[in-house]
Amino acid sequence: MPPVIDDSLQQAALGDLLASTVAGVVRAQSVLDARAAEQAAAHAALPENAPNPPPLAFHVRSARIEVAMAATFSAGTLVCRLVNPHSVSLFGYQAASGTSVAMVIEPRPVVRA
Amino acid sequence: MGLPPIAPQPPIRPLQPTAPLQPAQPAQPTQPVPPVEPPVLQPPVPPIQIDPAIRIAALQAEIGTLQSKVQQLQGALDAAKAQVRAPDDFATGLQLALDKLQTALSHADNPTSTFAVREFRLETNVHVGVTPLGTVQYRFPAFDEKVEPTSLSRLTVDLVAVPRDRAADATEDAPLEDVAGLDDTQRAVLRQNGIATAKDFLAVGTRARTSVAVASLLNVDRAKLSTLVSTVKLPPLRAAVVEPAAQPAPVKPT
Repeated sequence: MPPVIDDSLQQAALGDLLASTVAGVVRAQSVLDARAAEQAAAHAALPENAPNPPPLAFHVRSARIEVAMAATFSAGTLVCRLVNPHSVSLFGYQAASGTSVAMVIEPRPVVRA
Repeated sequence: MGLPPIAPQPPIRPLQPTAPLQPAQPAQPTQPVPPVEPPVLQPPVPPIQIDPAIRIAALQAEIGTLQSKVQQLQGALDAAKAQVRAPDDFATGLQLALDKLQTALSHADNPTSTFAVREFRLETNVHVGVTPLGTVQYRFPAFDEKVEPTSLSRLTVDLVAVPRDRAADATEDAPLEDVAGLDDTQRAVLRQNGIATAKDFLAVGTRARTSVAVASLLNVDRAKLSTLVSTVKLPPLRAAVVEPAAQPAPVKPT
């Protein structure tokens, strides 16, 4: 018999879920930047007369994130969680809130004053 | 070989006389026991013979009555649930989620670039209702709520980032407290029906289909409602409504 999972522990505010999702994208950009800085430093340490190709730097140009879940209102905030498989098997996806969120985030250059 | 000598036995005591025997007492006379009367046997009641068809019909009628009562109670329960569950403030919930998202993005400590939300699209199934004032209300089904798929409406919200217009921000929407002539009870009634600002009040108060409902809610006649709406349209009129006594009385020329 599968273990019983408390459903209340699998729900979170929609804002928290999206914030944690985009935090992953920002963290990925930070890792790319750190790698590019390491390669640039290594390239600068190489002798100038040797044929050394310059290192490449990558950046996230546009990140599209789509999340599908069930959502409801609780205490004035949108709360979401995974769709209950039992309800879906009995009543179908159409009987649930069937919330899907799609967003696109893009980097903006940091303007130094 | 000779036998052992017999030990001397103690002398036998003579029998002592006991208490003299008492003569037997004659039996006390008791109450006479009444004779047991034999129970009177009732003649057995013959079972009432009911026609099975009549009995079935009576039971079916009772089932029908109970079912109708169950339906009435279920309807009352559904109505009570609908009254308890207030409509969700969809715009506020969405705004909170986006604010949290944008705050997380602005606090990202990336040295070369910052991220911003360019597009945001939300699709969901909600219960949609329209109040007599024309306000659309949304209600999300609960997680454990069993709903009919046909009773849900698909709602899609597309949001895009636009540059903030500082000039437009300066003209903020006034609260209901700025509508002269409304008391606290009337403001509370308006807020319960989704009218929270002076612009909302102006929109429903000037619309032909909703002005009658607004007048009924505020318990005012159409002339009074027209005056209230005019104070929103014409701010100088507000001062005249709020402080009618402050105006100086006209002085007749002598």
